[in-house]
Amino acid sequence: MDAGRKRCEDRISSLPDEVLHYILSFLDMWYVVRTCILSKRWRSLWTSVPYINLDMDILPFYIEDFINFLYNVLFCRDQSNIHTFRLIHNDAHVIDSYEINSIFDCVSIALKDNVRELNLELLASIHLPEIELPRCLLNSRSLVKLNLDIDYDNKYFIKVFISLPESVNLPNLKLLKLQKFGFRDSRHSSLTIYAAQLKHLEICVDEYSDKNKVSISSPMLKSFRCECCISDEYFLEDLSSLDRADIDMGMGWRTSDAEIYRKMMKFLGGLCNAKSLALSVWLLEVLPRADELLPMSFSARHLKVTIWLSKYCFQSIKYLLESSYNLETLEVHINDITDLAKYCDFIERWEYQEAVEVLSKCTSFHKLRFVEIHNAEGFQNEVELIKLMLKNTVALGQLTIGASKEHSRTIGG
Amino acid sequence: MKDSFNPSIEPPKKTVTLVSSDGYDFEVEEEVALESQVIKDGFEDKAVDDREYLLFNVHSDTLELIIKYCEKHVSSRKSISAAAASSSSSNGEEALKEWDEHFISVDTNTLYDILMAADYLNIKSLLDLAIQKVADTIHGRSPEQIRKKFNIENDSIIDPWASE
Repeated sequence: MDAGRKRCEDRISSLPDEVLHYILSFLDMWYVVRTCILSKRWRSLWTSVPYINLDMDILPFYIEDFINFLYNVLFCRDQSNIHTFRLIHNDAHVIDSYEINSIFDCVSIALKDNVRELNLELLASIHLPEIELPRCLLNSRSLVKLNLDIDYDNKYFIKVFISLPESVNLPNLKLLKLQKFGFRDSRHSSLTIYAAQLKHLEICVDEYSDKNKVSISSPMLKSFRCECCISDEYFLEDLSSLDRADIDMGMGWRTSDAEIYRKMMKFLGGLCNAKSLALSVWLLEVLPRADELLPMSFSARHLKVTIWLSKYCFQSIKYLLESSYNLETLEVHINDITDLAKYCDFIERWEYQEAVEVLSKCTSFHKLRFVEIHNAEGFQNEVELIKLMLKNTVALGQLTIGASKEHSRTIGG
Repeated sequence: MKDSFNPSIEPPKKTVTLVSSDGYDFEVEEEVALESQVIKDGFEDKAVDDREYLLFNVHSDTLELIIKYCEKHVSSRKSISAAAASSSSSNGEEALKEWDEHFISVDTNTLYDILMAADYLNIKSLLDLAIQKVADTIHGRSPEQIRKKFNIENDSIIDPWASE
Protein backbone atom coordinates (compact mmCIF):
# COMPACT_ATOMS: atom_id res chain seq x y z
CA MET A 1 0.00 0.00 0.00
CA ASP A 2 2.68 2.40 1.09
CA ALA A 3 4.92 1.43 -1.79
CA GLY A 4 2.03 1.87 -4.19
CA ARG A 5 1.38 5.40 -3.03
CA LYS A 6 5.05 6.18 -3.27
CA ARG A 7 5.06 5.11 -6.88
CA CYS A 8 2.40 7.66 -7.82
CA GLU A 9 4.07 10.50 -6.00
CA ASP A 10 5.49 13.40 -7.96
CA ARG A 11 8.95 13.39 -6.47
CA ILE A 12 10.73 15.36 -9.17
CA SER A 13 8.72 18.50 -8.40
CA SER A 14 9.65 18.32 -4.74
CA LEU A 15 13.37 18.47 -5.50
CA PRO A 16 14.98 21.76 -4.46
CA ASP A 17 15.34 24.47 -7.11
CA GLU A 18 19.11 24.10 -7.33
CA VAL A 19 18.85 20.38 -8.09
CA LEU A 20 16.16 20.99 -10.72
CA HIS A 21 18.29 23.73 -12.25
CA TYR A 22 21.15 21.29 -12.37
CA ILE A 23 18.95 18.75 -14.15
CA LEU A 24 17.87 21.42 -16.63
CA SER A 25 21.50 22.39 -17.21
CA PHE A 26 21.94 19.07 -19.01
CA LEU A 27 19.23 20.03 -21.49
CA ASP A 28 19.03 22.34 -24.43
CA MET A 29 17.24 25.63 -23.68
CA TRP A 30 14.58 24.65 -26.18
CA TYR A 31 13.48 21.82 -23.87
CA VAL A 32 14.14 23.79 -20.69
CA VAL A 33 11.63 26.52 -21.58
CA ARG A 34 8.99 23.95 -22.47
CA THR A 35 8.96 22.66 -18.89
CA CYS A 36 7.10 25.86 -17.92
CA ILE A 37 3.75 24.30 -18.84
CA LEU A 38 4.22 21.14 -16.78
CA SER A 39 2.64 22.56 -13.63
CA LYS A 40 2.63 25.64 -11.39
CA ARG A 41 5.80 24.44 -9.72
CA TRP A 42 7.61 24.52 -13.06
CA ARG A 43 6.09 27.69 -14.49
CA SER A 44 8.83 30.13 -13.57
CA LEU A 45 11.54 27.65 -12.71
CA TRP A 46 13.29 28.02 -16.08
CA THR A 47 13.57 31.81 -15.75
CA SER A 48 16.23 31.42 -13.08
CA VAL A 49 18.17 28.55 -14.63
CA PRO A 50 21.80 29.70 -14.60
CA TYR A 51 22.77 27.55 -17.57
CA ILE A 52 21.81 28.46 -21.12
CA ASN A 53 22.68 25.89 -23.76
CA LEU A 54 21.43 26.40 -27.26
CA ASP A 55 22.51 24.06 -29.97
CA MET A 56 21.06 25.32 -33.22
CA ASP A 57 21.82 22.06 -34.99
CA ILE A 58 19.52 19.76 -33.06
CA LEU A 59 16.23 21.05 -34.42
CA PRO A 60 15.41 21.78 -38.05
CA PHE A 61 14.45 25.43 -37.60
CA TYR A 62 15.58 28.56 -39.30
CA ILE A 63 18.36 30.53 -37.70
CA GLU A 64 16.11 33.56 -37.25
CA ASP A 65 13.71 31.42 -35.20
CA PHE A 66 16.53 30.45 -32.89
CA ILE A 67 17.65 34.03 -32.60
CA ASN A 68 14.13 35.23 -31.79
CA PHE A 69 13.84 32.44 -29.27
CA LEU A 70 17.14 33.47 -27.70
CA TYR A 71 16.03 37.12 -27.44
CA ASN A 72 12.81 35.99 -25.77
CA VAL A 73 14.66 33.78 -23.32
CA LEU A 74 16.98 36.60 -22.34
CA PHE A 75 14.14 39.10 -21.90
CA CYS A 76 11.95 36.72 -19.90
CA ARG A 77 14.70 35.61 -17.56
CA ASP A 78 14.58 36.92 -14.01
CA GLN A 79 17.99 38.66 -14.38
CA SER A 80 19.69 36.23 -12.01
CA ASN A 81 23.34 35.50 -12.77
CA ILE A 82 24.16 33.23 -15.67
CA HIS A 83 26.78 30.62 -14.95
CA THR A 84 27.17 29.13 -18.41
CA PHE A 85 26.14 30.47 -21.79
CA ARG A 86 26.76 28.08 -24.65
CA LEU A 87 25.78 28.66 -28.24
CA ILE A 88 26.51 26.15 -30.97
CA HIS A 89 25.91 26.38 -34.66
CA ASN A 90 27.85 24.08 -36.97
CA ASP A 91 25.19 23.45 -39.52
CA ALA A 92 25.82 23.93 -43.22
CA HIS A 93 23.11 26.61 -43.13
CA VAL A 94 25.46 29.52 -42.77
CA ILE A 95 24.89 32.63 -40.75
CA ASP A 96 24.89 35.98 -42.49
CA SER A 97 26.12 39.24 -41.05
CA TYR A 98 22.69 40.36 -39.80
CA GLU A 99 22.33 37.09 -37.92
CA ILE A 100 25.79 37.12 -36.45
CA ASN A 101 25.27 40.66 -35.23
CA SER A 102 22.02 39.55 -33.58
CA ILE A 103 23.84 36.68 -31.93
CA PHE A 104 26.51 39.03 -30.62
CA ASP A 105 23.74 41.32 -29.43
CA CYS A 106 22.32 38.40 -27.42
CA VAL A 107 25.77 37.71 -26.01
CA SER A 108 25.99 41.34 -24.89
CA ILE A 109 22.58 41.10 -23.20
CA ALA A 110 23.58 37.87 -21.47
CA LEU A 111 26.85 39.39 -20.28
CA LYS A 112 24.85 41.92 -18.25
CA ASP A 113 23.88 38.94 -16.08
CA ASN A 114 27.50 38.24 -15.23
CA VAL A 115 28.17 35.20 -17.38
CA ARG A 116 31.01 33.13 -15.93
CA GLU A 117 31.53 30.64 -18.73
CA LEU A 118 30.93 31.55 -22.35
CA ASN A 119 31.21 29.13 -25.21
CA LEU A 120 30.53 30.27 -28.78
CA GLU A 121 30.94 27.81 -31.61
CA LEU A 122 29.67 29.27 -34.84
CA LEU A 123 30.01 28.54 -38.50
CA ALA A 124 29.66 31.72 -40.49
CA SER A 125 29.17 32.53 -44.11
CA ILE A 126 31.85 33.52 -46.56
CA HIS A 127 29.82 36.53 -47.58
CA LEU A 128 30.35 38.16 -44.24
CA PRO A 129 32.32 41.32 -43.96
CA GLU A 130 34.76 41.51 -41.13
CA ILE A 131 33.13 40.62 -37.85
CA GLU A 132 33.62 42.74 -34.83
CA LEU A 133 33.23 41.11 -31.46
CA PRO A 134 31.21 43.02 -28.88
CA ARG A 135 33.39 45.25 -26.72
CA CYS A 136 31.77 44.07 -23.51
CA LEU A 137 32.83 40.52 -24.32
CA LEU A 138 36.49 41.38 -24.45
CA ASN A 139 36.46 43.54 -21.35
CA SER A 140 34.18 41.46 -19.16
CA ARG A 141 34.90 41.31 -15.45
CA SER A 142 32.68 38.30 -14.81
CA LEU A 143 34.07 35.85 -17.36
CA VAL A 144 36.08 32.96 -15.95
CA LYS A 145 36.08 30.72 -19.02
CA LEU A 146 35.86 31.86 -22.61
CA ASN A 147 35.88 29.69 -25.69
CA LEU A 148 35.52 31.44 -29.04
CA ASP A 149 35.43 29.17 -32.03
CA ILE A 150 34.07 31.00 -35.05
CA ASP A 151 34.81 29.19 -38.22
CA TYR A 152 33.99 29.94 -41.82
CA ASP A 153 32.51 27.87 -44.50
CA ASN A 154 35.73 27.59 -46.45
CA LYS A 155 34.50 25.79 -49.51
CA TYR A 156 35.85 28.56 -51.69
CA PHE A 157 38.97 29.24 -49.69
CA ILE A 158 37.90 32.77 -49.05
CA LYS A 159 38.56 33.74 -45.51
CA VAL A 160 37.02 36.51 -43.52
CA PHE A 161 38.50 37.16 -40.17
CA ILE A 162 37.17 38.15 -36.85
CA SER A 163 38.80 41.35 -35.99
CA LEU A 164 40.00 41.55 -32.48
CA PRO A 165 40.75 44.88 -30.86
CA GLU A 166 44.33 45.66 -30.03
CA SER A 167 43.91 44.64 -26.44
CA VAL A 168 41.73 42.29 -24.48
CA ASN A 169 41.32 42.84 -20.78
CA LEU A 170 39.67 40.04 -18.84
CA PRO A 171 40.75 40.38 -15.21
CA ASN A 172 39.02 37.26 -13.83
CA LEU A 173 39.52 34.94 -16.74
CA LYS A 174 41.10 31.58 -15.94
CA LEU A 175 40.65 29.78 -19.24
CA LEU A 176 40.81 31.26 -22.72
CA LYS A 177 40.47 29.42 -26.00
CA LEU A 178 40.67 31.41 -29.19
CA GLN A 179 40.18 29.20 -32.17
CA LYS A 180 40.99 30.22 -35.71
CA PHE A 181 41.13 33.91 -35.15
CA GLY A 182 43.05 36.11 -37.47
CA PHE A 183 43.54 39.67 -38.51
CA ARG A 184 42.31 40.89 -41.78
CA ASP A 185 44.21 44.08 -41.86
CA SER A 186 47.97 43.80 -41.50
CA ARG A 187 48.16 47.26 -39.94
CA HIS A 188 46.20 46.11 -36.92
CA SER A 189 47.58 42.64 -36.63
CA SER A 190 48.58 42.89 -33.02
CA LEU A 191 46.78 41.69 -29.94
CA THR A 192 47.65 42.13 -26.31
CA ILE A 193 46.00 39.85 -23.79
CA TYR A 194 45.77 41.18 -20.26
CA ALA A 195 44.52 38.47 -17.97
CA ALA A 196 46.11 38.47 -14.57
CA GLN A 197 44.32 35.30 -13.40
CA LEU A 198 44.70 33.30 -16.59
CA LYS A 199 45.73 29.67 -16.03
CA HIS A 200 45.00 27.98 -19.34
CA LEU A 201 45.45 29.52 -22.74
CA GLU A 202 44.83 27.96 -26.12
CA ILE A 203 45.40 30.01 -29.23
CA CYS A 204 44.84 28.69 -32.67
CA VAL A 205 45.63 31.25 -35.33
CA ASP A 206 43.91 31.04 -38.65
CA GLU A 207 46.20 29.46 -41.20
CA TYR A 208 45.46 32.15 -43.75
CA SER A 209 46.54 35.00 -41.58
CA ASP A 210 50.18 35.50 -40.82
CA LYS A 211 52.69 37.87 -39.31
CA ASN A 212 50.42 38.27 -36.33
CA LYS A 213 51.77 39.85 -33.19
CA VAL A 214 50.44 38.57 -29.92
CA SER A 215 51.55 39.73 -26.49
CA ILE A 216 50.66 37.72 -23.45
CA SER A 217 51.35 38.71 -19.92
CA SER A 218 49.97 36.20 -17.44
CA PRO A 219 52.09 35.40 -14.40
CA MET A 220 49.61 32.68 -13.32
CA LEU A 221 49.61 30.83 -16.63
CA LYS A 222 49.93 27.06 -16.16
CA SER A 223 49.24 25.64 -19.57
CA PHE A 224 49.78 27.21 -22.95
CA ARG A 225 48.83 25.66 -26.24
CA CYS A 226 49.53 27.53 -29.40
CA GLU A 227 48.92 26.71 -33.01
CA CYS A 228 50.45 29.40 -35.12
CA CYS A 229 52.60 30.17 -38.12
CA ILE A 230 56.35 30.49 -37.89
CA SER A 231 55.99 34.03 -39.17
CA ASP A 232 53.91 35.08 -36.15
CA GLU A 233 55.51 37.01 -33.40
CA TYR A 234 54.79 36.30 -29.76
CA PHE A 235 55.81 38.39 -26.82
CA LEU A 236 55.63 36.29 -23.71
CA GLU A 237 56.12 38.21 -20.54
CA ASP A 238 56.57 36.71 -17.13
CA LEU A 239 55.22 33.21 -17.60
CA SER A 240 56.85 32.22 -14.35
CA SER A 241 54.40 29.51 -13.27
CA LEU A 242 54.16 27.77 -16.63
CA ASP A 243 53.76 24.00 -16.40
CA ARG A 244 52.99 22.85 -19.89
CA ALA A 245 53.61 24.45 -23.23
CA ASP A 246 52.57 22.84 -26.48
CA ILE A 247 53.70 24.75 -29.54
CA ASP A 248 52.56 23.72 -32.96
CA MET A 249 54.01 25.97 -35.62
CA GLY A 250 52.96 25.65 -39.22
CA MET A 251 54.70 26.85 -42.33
CA GLY A 252 52.62 29.92 -42.97
CA TRP A 253 52.88 31.69 -46.29
CA ARG A 254 56.13 33.57 -46.07
CA THR A 255 59.06 31.81 -44.52
CA SER A 256 62.19 33.19 -46.08
CA ASP A 257 62.25 36.16 -43.77
CA ALA A 258 65.48 36.33 -41.76
CA GLU A 259 63.57 37.94 -38.90
CA ILE A 260 61.75 34.67 -38.31
CA TYR A 261 64.69 33.05 -36.53
CA ARG A 262 65.05 35.97 -34.17
CA LYS A 263 61.32 35.83 -33.37
CA MET A 264 61.46 32.10 -32.78
CA MET A 265 64.40 32.35 -30.42
CA LYS A 266 62.53 35.00 -28.48
CA PHE A 267 59.41 32.85 -28.39
CA LEU A 268 61.36 29.86 -27.09
CA GLY A 269 63.01 32.07 -24.51
CA GLY A 270 59.57 32.96 -23.15
CA LEU A 271 58.86 29.29 -22.56
CA CYS A 272 61.98 28.53 -20.57
CA ASN A 273 60.01 28.03 -17.33
CA ALA A 274 57.76 25.28 -18.67
CA LYS A 275 58.12 21.94 -16.89
CA SER A 276 56.82 20.10 -19.89
CA LEU A 277 57.50 21.30 -23.40
CA ALA A 278 56.14 20.01 -26.71
CA LEU A 279 57.51 21.39 -29.96
CA SER A 280 56.32 20.71 -33.46
CA VAL A 281 58.25 19.66 -36.51
CA TRP A 282 58.41 22.92 -38.46
CA LEU A 283 59.77 24.79 -35.48
CA LEU A 284 62.57 22.26 -35.13
CA GLU A 285 63.24 22.19 -38.84
CA VAL A 286 63.51 25.95 -39.15
CA LEU A 287 65.12 26.90 -35.86
CA PRO A 288 68.72 25.72 -36.61
CA ARG A 289 68.77 27.86 -39.75
CA ALA A 290 69.34 30.86 -37.55
CA ASP A 291 72.83 32.33 -37.74
CA GLU A 292 73.44 31.28 -34.20
CA LEU A 293 71.43 29.46 -31.60
CA LEU A 294 71.46 31.64 -28.53
CA PRO A 295 72.43 29.94 -25.29
CA MET A 296 69.33 29.35 -23.18
CA SER A 297 68.39 27.36 -20.16
CA PHE A 298 65.09 25.52 -20.18
CA SER A 299 63.77 24.06 -16.97
CA ALA A 300 61.70 21.42 -18.76
CA ARG A 301 61.79 17.92 -17.30
CA HIS A 302 59.72 16.48 -20.09
CA LEU A 303 60.39 17.29 -23.72
CA LYS A 304 58.21 16.09 -26.55
CA VAL A 305 59.43 16.71 -30.07
CA THR A 306 57.94 15.85 -33.41
CA ILE A 307 60.69 15.52 -36.00
CA TRP A 308 61.67 14.47 -39.42
CA LEU A 309 64.85 12.45 -39.62
CA SER A 310 66.62 15.47 -41.01
CA LYS A 311 69.85 17.21 -40.20
CA TYR A 312 68.09 20.33 -38.94
CA CYS A 313 65.71 18.47 -36.66
CA PHE A 314 68.64 16.56 -35.18
CA GLN A 315 70.45 19.84 -34.67
CA SER A 316 67.41 21.17 -32.81
CA ILE A 317 67.31 18.11 -30.58
CA LYS A 318 70.97 18.53 -29.81
CA TYR A 319 70.46 22.19 -28.99
CA LEU A 320 67.43 21.49 -26.78
CA LEU A 321 69.14 18.68 -24.91
CA GLU A 322 72.17 20.83 -24.23
CA SER A 323 70.02 23.74 -23.05
CA SER A 324 67.74 21.75 -20.72
CA TYR A 325 69.55 21.09 -17.50
CA ASN A 326 66.61 19.30 -15.79
CA LEU A 327 65.53 17.04 -18.59
CA GLU A 328 64.48 13.52 -17.61
CA THR A 329 62.14 12.36 -20.34
CA LEU A 330 62.56 12.73 -24.06
CA GLU A 331 59.64 11.80 -26.25
CA VAL A 332 60.39 11.69 -29.97
CA HIS A 333 57.63 11.38 -32.52
CA ILE A 334 58.90 10.71 -36.01
CA ASN A 335 56.87 12.25 -38.80
CA ASP A 336 56.29 10.67 -42.13
CA ILE A 337 59.00 11.75 -44.52
CA THR A 338 56.52 12.27 -47.36
CA ASP A 339 55.29 15.40 -45.55
CA LEU A 340 58.74 16.83 -45.89
CA ALA A 341 59.03 15.84 -49.53
CA LYS A 342 56.13 18.19 -50.33
CA TYR A 343 58.32 21.10 -49.35
CA CYS A 344 61.47 19.89 -51.01
CA ASP A 345 62.04 23.20 -52.77
CA PHE A 346 62.31 24.84 -49.39
CA ILE A 347 64.34 22.24 -47.63
CA GLU A 348 67.64 21.19 -49.08
CA ARG A 349 68.33 17.54 -49.38
CA TRP A 350 69.82 16.07 -46.31
CA GLU A 351 72.02 13.10 -45.75
CA TYR A 352 71.72 10.36 -43.19
CA GLN A 353 75.36 10.65 -42.35
CA GLU A 354 75.19 14.36 -41.69
CA ALA A 355 72.21 13.99 -39.37
CA VAL A 356 73.90 11.27 -37.35
CA GLU A 357 77.11 13.24 -37.12
CA VAL A 358 75.20 16.13 -35.58
CA LEU A 359 73.82 13.98 -32.82
CA SER A 360 77.03 12.10 -32.10
CA LYS A 361 78.52 15.42 -31.02
CA CYS A 362 75.78 15.88 -28.47
CA THR A 363 77.04 15.51 -24.94
CA SER A 364 73.79 15.80 -23.02
CA PHE A 365 72.25 12.36 -23.35
CA HIS A 366 73.63 11.11 -20.07
CA LYS A 367 71.02 12.87 -17.91
CA LEU A 368 68.03 11.26 -19.59
CA ARG A 369 66.06 8.71 -17.61
CA PHE A 370 63.21 7.90 -19.97
CA VAL A 371 63.28 7.90 -23.74
CA GLU A 372 60.30 7.17 -25.96
CA ILE A 373 60.48 6.91 -29.72
CA HIS A 374 57.20 6.73 -31.59
CA ASN A 375 56.39 5.90 -35.21
CA ALA A 376 59.78 4.37 -35.89
CA GLU A 377 60.06 3.23 -39.50
CA GLY A 378 63.30 1.32 -39.17
CA PHE A 379 65.46 3.88 -40.96
CA GLN A 380 69.18 3.93 -40.47
CA ASN A 381 68.93 7.28 -38.68
CA GLU A 382 66.64 5.85 -36.06
CA VAL A 383 68.93 2.95 -35.40
CA GLU A 384 71.85 5.35 -35.04
CA LEU A 385 69.81 7.56 -32.75
CA ILE A 386 68.95 4.63 -30.50
CA LYS A 387 72.54 3.40 -30.53
CA LEU A 388 73.78 6.81 -29.44
CA MET A 389 71.27 6.93 -26.63
CA LEU A 390 72.19 3.52 -25.31
CA LYS A 391 75.87 4.37 -25.46
CA ASN A 392 75.66 7.77 -23.83
CA THR A 393 72.84 7.66 -21.34
CA VAL A 394 74.04 6.72 -17.89
CA ALA A 395 70.79 7.08 -16.00
CA LEU A 396 68.47 5.60 -18.60
CA GLY A 397 65.74 3.58 -16.92
CA GLN A 398 63.37 2.91 -19.76
CA LEU A 399 63.53 3.05 -23.52
CA THR A 400 60.26 2.63 -25.36
CA ILE A 401 60.12 2.24 -29.10
CA GLY A 402 56.83 2.21 -30.95
CA ALA A 403 56.80 1.30 -34.60
CA SER A 404 54.66 3.21 -37.06
CA LYS A 405 51.28 1.74 -37.89
CA GLU A 406 52.32 0.53 -41.30
CA HIS A 407 55.44 -0.99 -39.93
CA SER A 408 53.78 -2.85 -37.11
CA ARG A 409 51.44 -4.26 -39.69
CA THR A 410 54.37 -5.72 -41.62
CA ILE A 411 55.81 -7.14 -38.44
CA GLY A 412 52.45 -8.60 -37.56
CA GLY A 413 52.18 -10.14 -41.01
CA MET B 1 56.53 -2.81 18.69
CA LYS B 2 58.93 -4.49 16.34
CA ASP B 3 56.13 -5.31 13.94
CA SER B 4 55.38 -1.69 13.31
CA PHE B 5 58.83 -1.32 11.79
CA ASN B 6 58.41 -4.25 9.51
CA PRO B 7 57.62 -2.82 6.09
CA SER B 8 56.27 -6.09 4.75
CA ILE B 9 53.24 -5.97 7.04
CA GLU B 10 50.64 -3.54 5.79
CA PRO B 11 49.01 -1.40 8.43
CA PRO B 12 45.37 -2.39 8.97
CA LYS B 13 43.09 -0.35 6.73
CA LYS B 14 41.39 2.52 8.50
CA THR B 15 37.64 2.22 8.57
CA VAL B 16 34.81 4.64 9.08
CA THR B 17 31.32 3.93 10.34
CA LEU B 18 28.45 5.49 8.46
CA VAL B 19 25.07 5.49 10.18
CA SER B 20 21.96 5.62 8.02
CA SER B 21 18.82 7.61 8.83
CA ASP B 22 17.05 4.43 10.00
CA GLY B 23 19.89 3.60 12.38
CA TYR B 24 21.96 0.95 10.57
CA ASP B 25 25.75 0.99 10.85
CA PHE B 26 27.90 0.55 7.74
CA GLU B 27 31.60 0.02 8.21
CA VAL B 28 33.56 1.09 5.17
CA GLU B 29 37.19 1.75 4.35
CA GLU B 30 38.19 5.33 4.87
CA GLU B 31 39.13 5.95 1.25
CA VAL B 32 35.70 4.76 0.17
CA ALA B 33 33.96 7.15 2.55
CA LEU B 34 36.21 9.98 1.39
CA GLU B 35 34.63 9.83 -2.05
CA SER B 36 32.03 12.05 -0.41
CA GLN B 37 33.29 15.61 -0.28
CA VAL B 38 31.10 16.27 2.78
CA ILE B 39 32.67 13.42 4.76
CA LYS B 40 36.11 14.46 3.55
CA ASP B 41 35.61 18.02 4.74
CA GLY B 42 34.09 16.70 7.98
CA PHE B 43 37.08 14.51 8.75
CA GLU B 44 39.52 17.27 8.12
CA ASP B 45 37.78 19.34 10.79
CA LYS B 46 37.15 16.56 13.29
CA ALA B 47 39.45 14.95 15.82
CA VAL B 48 41.24 11.85 14.52
CA ASP B 49 39.45 9.38 16.80
CA ASP B 50 35.96 10.36 15.80
CA ARG B 51 35.24 7.92 13.00
CA GLU B 52 31.47 7.80 13.01
CA TYR B 53 29.34 9.76 10.64
CA LEU B 54 25.59 10.17 11.01
CA LEU B 55 23.77 10.58 7.74
CA PHE B 56 20.35 11.88 8.69
CA ASN B 57 19.10 12.12 5.13
CA VAL B 58 20.18 8.77 3.75
CA HIS B 59 18.14 5.60 4.17
CA SER B 60 19.99 2.31 4.60
CA ASP B 61 18.74 0.97 1.24
CA THR B 62 20.19 3.97 -0.54
CA LEU B 63 23.36 4.03 1.52
CA GLU B 64 24.09 0.45 0.51
CA LEU B 65 23.94 1.47 -3.16
CA ILE B 66 26.06 4.56 -2.57
CA ILE B 67 28.75 2.50 -0.84
CA LYS B 68 28.68 -0.02 -3.66
CA TYR B 69 29.24 2.83 -6.13
CA CYS B 70 32.09 4.38 -4.15
CA GLU B 71 33.84 1.04 -3.59
CA LYS B 72 33.67 0.27 -7.29
CA HIS B 73 35.06 3.68 -8.22
CA VAL B 74 37.92 3.53 -5.72
CA SER B 75 39.00 0.07 -6.88
CA SER B 76 38.63 0.90 -10.60
CA ARG B 77 40.67 4.04 -10.20
CA LYS B 78 43.43 1.99 -8.63
CA SER B 79 43.45 -0.62 -11.36
CA ILE B 80 43.33 2.05 -14.08
CA SER B 81 46.31 3.91 -12.64
CA ALA B 82 48.16 0.61 -12.13
CA ALA B 83 47.57 -0.27 -15.78
CA ALA B 84 48.78 3.18 -16.82
CA ALA B 85 51.95 2.83 -14.72
CA SER B 86 52.89 -0.45 -16.32
CA SER B 87 51.88 1.12 -19.66
CA SER B 88 49.76 -1.89 -20.50
CA SER B 89 46.61 -1.13 -22.36
CA SER B 90 43.39 -1.39 -20.43
CA ASN B 91 39.77 -0.71 -21.13
CA GLY B 92 39.18 0.08 -17.46
CA GLU B 93 37.51 3.41 -18.06
CA GLU B 94 35.11 2.00 -20.59
CA ALA B 95 34.28 -0.92 -18.34
CA LEU B 96 33.59 1.52 -15.51
CA LYS B 97 31.32 3.57 -17.76
CA GLU B 98 29.38 0.45 -18.60
CA TRP B 99 29.18 -0.44 -14.94
CA ASP B 100 27.87 3.07 -14.16
CA GLU B 101 25.27 2.74 -16.88
CA HIS B 102 24.08 -0.52 -15.40
CA PHE B 103 24.22 0.84 -11.85
CA ILE B 104 21.98 3.81 -12.60
CA SER B 105 19.38 1.79 -14.50
CA VAL B 106 17.01 1.75 -11.54
CA ASP B 107 13.38 2.67 -11.03
CA THR B 108 12.51 6.35 -10.72
CA ASN B 109 12.13 6.28 -6.93
CA THR B 110 15.53 4.74 -6.34
CA LEU B 111 16.97 7.21 -8.83
CA TYR B 112 15.66 10.15 -6.77
CA ASP B 113 16.99 8.57 -3.59
CA ILE B 114 20.43 8.20 -5.16
CA LEU B 115 20.26 11.70 -6.61
CA MET B 116 19.33 13.31 -3.28
CA ALA B 117 21.92 11.28 -1.37
CA ALA B 118 24.65 12.14 -3.88
CA ASP B 119 23.69 15.79 -3.57
CA TYR B 120 23.65 15.63 0.24
CA LEU B 121 26.95 13.75 0.44
CA ASN B 122 28.43 15.79 -2.41
CA ILE B 123 29.66 12.96 -4.61
CA LYS B 124 30.04 14.86 -7.87
CA SER B 125 30.45 11.96 -10.29
CA LEU B 126 27.43 10.09 -8.90
CA LEU B 127 25.30 13.24 -8.86
CA ASP B 128 26.16 13.90 -12.50
CA LEU B 129 25.36 10.31 -13.37
CA ALA B 130 21.93 10.46 -11.72
CA ILE B 131 21.10 13.88 -13.11
CA GLN B 132 22.11 12.89 -16.61
CA LYS B 133 19.70 9.98 -16.29
CA VAL B 134 16.81 12.28 -15.30
CA ALA B 135 17.72 14.79 -18.02
CA ASP B 136 17.76 12.01 -20.64
CA THR B 137 14.20 11.18 -19.63
CA ILE B 138 13.05 14.77 -20.23
CA HIS B 139 14.98 15.24 -23.46
CA GLY B 140 12.88 15.01 -26.60
CA ARG B 141 9.61 14.29 -24.77
CA SER B 142 6.45 16.34 -25.04
CA PRO B 143 5.22 18.00 -21.82
CA GLU B 144 2.38 15.47 -21.61
CA GLN B 145 4.84 12.58 -21.83
CA ILE B 146 7.04 14.20 -19.18
CA ARG B 147 4.06 14.61 -16.85
CA LYS B 148 3.19 10.97 -17.27
CA LYS B 149 6.75 9.81 -16.77
CA PHE B 150 7.26 11.78 -13.56
CA ASN B 151 3.70 11.75 -12.23
CA ILE B 152 3.49 15.52 -12.42
CA GLU B 153 -0.05 16.70 -11.88
CA ASN B 154 -1.04 19.55 -14.13
CA ASP B 155 -2.40 22.17 -11.75
CA SER B 156 -2.11 25.07 -14.21
CA ILE B 157 -5.39 26.74 -15.07
CA ILE B 158 -4.63 26.97 -18.75
CA ASP B 159 -3.15 23.94 -20.37
CA PRO B 160 -2.21 24.61 -23.99
CA TRP B 161 -1.64 20.89 -24.52
CA ALA B 162 -5.01 19.82 -23.13
CA SER B 163 -6.70 19.81 -26.53
CA GLU B 164 -4.27 17.24 -27.86
